[in-house]
Amino acid sequence: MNSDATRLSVVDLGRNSVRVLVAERSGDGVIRVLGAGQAPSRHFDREIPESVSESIEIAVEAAEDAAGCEIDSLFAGVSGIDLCSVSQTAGMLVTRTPEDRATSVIRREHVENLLERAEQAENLHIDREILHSLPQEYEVDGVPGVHQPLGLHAIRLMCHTHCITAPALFLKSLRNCIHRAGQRLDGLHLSSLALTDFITSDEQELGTLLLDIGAGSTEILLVSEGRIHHTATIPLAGEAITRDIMSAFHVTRHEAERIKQEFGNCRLDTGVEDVGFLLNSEDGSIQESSTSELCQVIQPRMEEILEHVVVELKRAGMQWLLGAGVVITGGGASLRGLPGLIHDVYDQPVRMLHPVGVECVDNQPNLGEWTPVIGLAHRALRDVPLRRGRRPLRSLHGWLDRMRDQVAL
Amino acid sequence: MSDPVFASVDLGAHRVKVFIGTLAGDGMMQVTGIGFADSRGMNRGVVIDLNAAAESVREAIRMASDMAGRSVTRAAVSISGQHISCMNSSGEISLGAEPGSQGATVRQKHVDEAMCHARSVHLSVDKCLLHTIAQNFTLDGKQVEDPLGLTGHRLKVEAHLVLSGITSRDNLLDVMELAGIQHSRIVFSPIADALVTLSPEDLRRGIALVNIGAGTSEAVYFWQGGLRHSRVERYAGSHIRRDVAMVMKTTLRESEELVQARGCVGEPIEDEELSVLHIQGTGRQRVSRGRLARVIQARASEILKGVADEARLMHAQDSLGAGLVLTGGSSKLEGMTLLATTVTQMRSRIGSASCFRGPRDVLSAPSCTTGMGLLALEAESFADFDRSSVPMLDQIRLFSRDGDGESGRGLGRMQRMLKWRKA
Repeated sequence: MNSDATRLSVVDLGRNSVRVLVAERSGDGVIRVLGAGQAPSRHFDREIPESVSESIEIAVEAAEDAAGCEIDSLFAGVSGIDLCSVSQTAGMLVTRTPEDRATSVIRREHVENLLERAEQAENLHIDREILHSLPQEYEVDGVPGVHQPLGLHAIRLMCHTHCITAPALFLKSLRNCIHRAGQRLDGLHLSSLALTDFITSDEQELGTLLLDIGAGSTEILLVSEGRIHHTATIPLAGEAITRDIMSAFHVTRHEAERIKQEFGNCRLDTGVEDVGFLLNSEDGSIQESSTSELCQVIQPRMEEILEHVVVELKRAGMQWLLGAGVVITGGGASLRGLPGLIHDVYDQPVRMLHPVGVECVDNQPNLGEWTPVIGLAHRALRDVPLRRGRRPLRSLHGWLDRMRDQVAL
Repeated sequence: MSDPVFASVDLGAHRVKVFIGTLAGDGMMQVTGIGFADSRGMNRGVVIDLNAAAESVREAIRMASDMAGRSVTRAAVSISGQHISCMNSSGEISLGAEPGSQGATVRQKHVDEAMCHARSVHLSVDKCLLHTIAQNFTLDGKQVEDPLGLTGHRLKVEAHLVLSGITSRDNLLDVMELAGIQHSRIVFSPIADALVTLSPEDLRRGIALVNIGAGTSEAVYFWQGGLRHSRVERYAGSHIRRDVAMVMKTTLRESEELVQARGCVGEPIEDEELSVLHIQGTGRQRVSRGRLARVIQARASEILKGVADEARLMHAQDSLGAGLVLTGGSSKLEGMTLLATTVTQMRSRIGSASCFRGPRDVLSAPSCTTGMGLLALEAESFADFDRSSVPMLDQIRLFSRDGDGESGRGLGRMQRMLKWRKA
């Protein structure tokens, strides 16, 4: 193995399946997927049942076989839980005394102090835990958009942070379940947050809505002006559609999944030919149906999900921030006609999210449902060792040290 | 001794522009070096990343000095941003003559003393004085054009003070230091523009000048023979670019090129279809130029309306007889003067500097006026310099004692660093 390559395994616990991916970053910065493994899991809501540990073990074994290496620690993605996000601002005076006309320079202590203060300012409920506290940007004397505050002269320094909290119980059971599977935990990261790596900087600047439509939940992430404005979860996604099909056609879950995959379409008027097909009912009889009938079941549910997203954005007062359109990903996003439907509902351009900057070695899964896992691997490898959002600072330390050296001379 | 070399650095939000000039035999300024570089680490006219900004300044300076064949270590620097504010003040002194006598002759030291009185004002802790500019002098109650050599008892000066945020100024100076440039002076950019684009006649009739740059739009208003008001507008070229990108669903770079190449305001004479890259990378889309014009016009009108509203607020709209002069990169847009005339109800024109020798097409661009004005100020103190080529130098006199470092900028970078290290 190349000595300067960093290897890492990520796990994503979805509602229907557990996915494990092994990836490495070589010395020249190329991120490569080495192998992947998947195992079905029992769906869960707030707590993770013990059986998920077994699923993890199976998926890990499959990934080990594919990648040809041992896995002893996992970096876990968090999704499908009720997230809460708060944007907040913390401020401090850099100049010690107001009489001091000569201004002071922002030092590392100032920034660290400020970030600490920002984290404490979050009024944390007892059953919630901070998943991420992300410094978004600094504001120096009223000038926003500062990402490298060290060394600047300032009187007032402010920091906008985006704080994402998750139910403490869920995170605890997630940790336990990974330990039970015999793995060490490298870190926890919000899945949809990692996907912002695949959104271009222009899209992030002009305002993009990321929809990660999984099985159990739809994750919303709104990026605008280069910072995260809002994160939320809507507990409706592909699974809800499957259930609808089950009850509408009286078929088994397996059969419902099959016809959704094969014939599912979420917009009637796409000019697609109406195809008839046969399906096995629960009672063993065979019935006839058509794509238009199926669509009548899928479309209202999908519209409902999209409506929930709009309501969520309106609640946060951020429906105006969408300048560059919508980016969709996840297993539920591969449904036919979805981009067209979103375009109709939101009147914004829509595209599928593609992992960029990640190489897949051989016939690796590149489906929509694997994108969140690849995103996690990309994010985890991009900044190893991952710190909780302290990135803007680290690039500055070198500069500061150089300055110190200069002084020492 | 080699002939003097002058340099100016205009650190805009979009581009860093460096000009190097020397004096020709007849005292005219010859621009010999021009360097442009995309600026990084700037936001709304203010430095937000020291190293990135310094790097772009270095790049522009390297380019200019390669062209001029001379290196520069000293330059005049322009400043802008929303931290700039202004106030009017006055100072009155006794010339020290015996009561009942004929009076004393006004000397330069008296004028300076009166100016110092005018500029001794209370500033909030985050502000420092950038410019003190005399508006008019009154000698024993009578207004005089130039008091030097006249006889009287009391001299009064009314002056316009331009203030800047201390931290923003210090950050700008740090960038210059990091780029290896010693600053000779800092000038609020539209004042530099005014030096080279206006005429004494304009000043007599009253005029407004707005520099619509990339980060901010800066306006100065002259009436009754002097600079009366300065203001920085929040919106400028980068907002136009962003608007276009959002409406046309295209990338920022593409929208930038679109605005530069095909941008206009008002109805284009000939509508045409433009091919624009889609932001989501899904190929190209077609948009009409008329639609582009409407998007740009919405923002441009807002900027111009801000300029006009400010004049109205100062009750000066009737005093600006010579109208409005537009400078800065975004004023090049087709149809801009017509729009400005319609929105502000003032006669409008594009300002260009034609007082120096050099590559004509570059120097006459409205985006280069700030750099030209800075060069004029640099050369001002040289006896060889032909002052008549820049007649406004006698009209807008920047008080020479400004920027003496009385607001805490006495220590060098190193000393300051040592200081905080000890602290």
